[in-house]
Amino acid sequence: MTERAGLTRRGYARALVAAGGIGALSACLDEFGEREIPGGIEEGEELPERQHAWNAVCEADEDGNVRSPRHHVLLSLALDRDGEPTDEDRALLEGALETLERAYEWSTDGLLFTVGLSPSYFERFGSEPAGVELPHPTALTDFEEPDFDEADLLLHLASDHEQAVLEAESALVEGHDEVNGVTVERGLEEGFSLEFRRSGFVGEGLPAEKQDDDVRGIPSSDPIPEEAPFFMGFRSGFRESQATEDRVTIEGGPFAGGTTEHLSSMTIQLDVWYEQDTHAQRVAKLFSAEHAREDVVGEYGESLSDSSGLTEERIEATAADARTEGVVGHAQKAARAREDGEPLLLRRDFNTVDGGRPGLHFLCLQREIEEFVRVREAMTGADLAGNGVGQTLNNGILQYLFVNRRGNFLLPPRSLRALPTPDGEW
Amino acid sequence: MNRRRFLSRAGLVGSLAVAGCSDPTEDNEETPTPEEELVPEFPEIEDPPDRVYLPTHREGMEAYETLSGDEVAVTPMLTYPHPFWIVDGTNVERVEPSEDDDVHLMMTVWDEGTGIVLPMDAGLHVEVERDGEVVAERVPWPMLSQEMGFHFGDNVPLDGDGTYEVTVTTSRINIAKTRGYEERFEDGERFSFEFEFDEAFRHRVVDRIEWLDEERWGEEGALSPITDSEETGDVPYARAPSTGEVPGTHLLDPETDEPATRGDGVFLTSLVGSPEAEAFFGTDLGDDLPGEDEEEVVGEVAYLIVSPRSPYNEVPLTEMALSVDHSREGDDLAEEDLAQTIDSEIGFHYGLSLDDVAVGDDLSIAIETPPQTARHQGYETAFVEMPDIDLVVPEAWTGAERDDGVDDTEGTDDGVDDEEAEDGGNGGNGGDEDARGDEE
Ligand code: HEM
Repeated sequence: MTERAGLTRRGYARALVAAGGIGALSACLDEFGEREIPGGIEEGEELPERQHAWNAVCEADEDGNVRSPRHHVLLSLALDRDGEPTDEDRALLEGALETLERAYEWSTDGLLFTVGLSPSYFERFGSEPAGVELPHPTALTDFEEPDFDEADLLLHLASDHEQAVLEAESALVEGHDEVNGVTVERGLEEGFSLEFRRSGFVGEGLPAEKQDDDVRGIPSSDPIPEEAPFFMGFRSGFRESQATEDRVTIEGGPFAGGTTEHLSSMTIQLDVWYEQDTHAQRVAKLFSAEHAREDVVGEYGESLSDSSGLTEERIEATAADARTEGVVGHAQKAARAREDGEPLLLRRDFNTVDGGRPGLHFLCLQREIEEFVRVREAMTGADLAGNGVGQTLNNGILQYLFVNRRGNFLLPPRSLRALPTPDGEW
Repeated sequence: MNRRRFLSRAGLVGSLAVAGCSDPTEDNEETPTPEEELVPEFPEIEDPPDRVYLPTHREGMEAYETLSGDEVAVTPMLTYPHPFWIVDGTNVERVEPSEDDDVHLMMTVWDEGTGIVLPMDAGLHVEVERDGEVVAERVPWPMLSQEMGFHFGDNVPLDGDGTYEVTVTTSRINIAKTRGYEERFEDGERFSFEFEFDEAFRHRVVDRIEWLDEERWGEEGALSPITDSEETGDVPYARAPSTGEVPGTHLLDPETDEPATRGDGVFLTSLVGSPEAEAFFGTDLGDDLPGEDEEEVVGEVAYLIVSPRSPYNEVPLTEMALSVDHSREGDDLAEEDLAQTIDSEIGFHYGLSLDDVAVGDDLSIAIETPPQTARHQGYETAFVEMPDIDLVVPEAWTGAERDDGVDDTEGTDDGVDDEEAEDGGNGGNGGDEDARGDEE
């Protein structure tokens, strides 16, 4: 079991989520006592039809930026049955999810979750989901050879409280028979197999605490700013750089009200980032050369308010900056993919130490997967290479990221989440 | 200094004694016990000149067997962690080895068929494993060093003494490819090799350090390439083509009558006329020479070659953005970017096709970004401030009629000669003298 020794309270909590399982849950309860977690909906009450309707129930910071839940678990599940799912499978899944809804408030204080369906799931029916392009994941750059997440389902559990995600996970896949005072009738193990679990965390303090755990790839000099929400040391997810929930919602067809999800998992080369690049170089590579020169970011992004501070002019000048500055910013490049000034992706990414090294689960929502591919192309910036920056050298943060996995999913509207047919029935 | 222990203090002091300089670690508070190991610590040269200069020492290195793939070969080398400089724009920042670093890993990627060192614009992906567990994953920096030439390298942490397996993955080359290279290097390849990290290795590399006399530190000049040494003679070394190897009519700096020098980089520049130019364009232009039917065209189609290199060792300067402003009697004809290009004969250069080049035209080459390559000691102050180069197309330019661009120029041996051009189409490499450091 995960050892408490030498860890702060928050550090230990995060380590428990990383370990997972009933053991971690009981250690969590032992250590911190049972936390009062607000309960969920009563008979007759309803939650939003959009599974991804999280923003309204997430806290916002003083600048109006949505703050992500701090603890995350991803469960990849395969339906045991071959061929099309049956009503019994549907009832099993729907029952388990409704139990969570009754057990926890739909909030970061309680539990937020989504269910995603992979392209492989729809292959069971031999046809694609109506009105939605849901391609199989592919490698998106020359320098990656990712494995693909092709299991039927991806469950994403999130909460500010480690206890909630651990308990929900235990109830879903480990036969734990009670969640937040609500009895669990049946666990998903009756019809599904767990392909893998992953976990992560995001928010002020958590990455810096990870430095105590002696994770390989985190420099011994403890360089991560205490306040930074992400491993690379800066705030991200500013309101102006995020798509709205409306913008990512599917508008027509049986899956209207749903969205698509891309999950890429990557390790991050943090030692070079912190031990070799200077703070100014990090700012230039993440934001823009101008941000670095004019020092508008601050240590970890505290000088920015509700936007990355990229003017339209700067975004349009990305290619020119490559040639004259010798460096372009990640955010600057990615913002080139905005449409009519609006970002296409709603990023809900979080840090991880899965695999024993620092990394990121880049989870994001968009109306169509193809939009993700376009934004990722803008981020890859192959068009800039050879023009003052390399394919990776000084080309944003590409030199520091190693993509290991990719997966694409459909998040149907809540009423269709439990194993719908491609025509949106069940 | 909280540098990770590398070698016994005795070993380090030994090599410093040979150099006849003081022990740079002597103000170190904690005195390591003999068993403790130190990364050698290198004195900094105060106020190095803004040009290529002699560093304090030659690095001791260990070369590993070349790994031959289908299309490219990788020659790995290993040494102790040491400082280098990384560049963004015109900012050059010194990188000290971190307390976690254990070795400095270097790789040169080349074409065994032609001997040409390849720029590998997508970088390399390197994984270092011990007992199947990844201990480091890197996209190492493209680097310039006097001894190693152009290579990829980084300081890397390990996990104690033992056997390590390194996997190196290359990607396709995306920059322009010419004269037989058009269809090459389309796919990445994977290589692996093993090395032993132990006391004996650490002693070998530190013992090979050769210190220069302190008076020479910072002098103009460069260490000779590792290929000049017996131990490492087989290691490939990126060398830009000599004057004689660059075809076409050479353009000289009007002020010096030699190839232009900017920021200590020497810019060999030439115009290749038809039909040789067509080989660079990658197509047979036939009757469709660009601009042929337009009346106002008075000049000839040309392929412009710009081949910048370091002085002395003639290491090609990669990762720059160059553009050219072409005008005639004050009228702008074209303003275009040069493309980073790899050619099967002259190797890395910047190239561009121009459709109407006449004697007397002005070609102004702008260095929009200096080489973004990381630098080893002696190269970090050079190749940064590089003002425009204003050139005039010389009388010798005859475009299409001229088909003997190559044979009227004499080859240079080691690039340190400074011979007069016979026809205004040739020049030396711009070095003032043979100031190459002959370190002992
Ligand atoms: C460790 C990895 C990453 C880090 C540290 C990171 C960090 C950042 C930061 C600091 C910003 C600017 C602040 C903001 O407005 O949110 C940003 C913006 C953005 N990033 Fe990333 N990012 C990472 C990976 C990715 C990936 C894999 C993508 C995939 C396409 C991506 C897409 C974007 C987009 C679309 C924006 C907003 C651009 C706009 O303003 O329109 N990021 N990122």
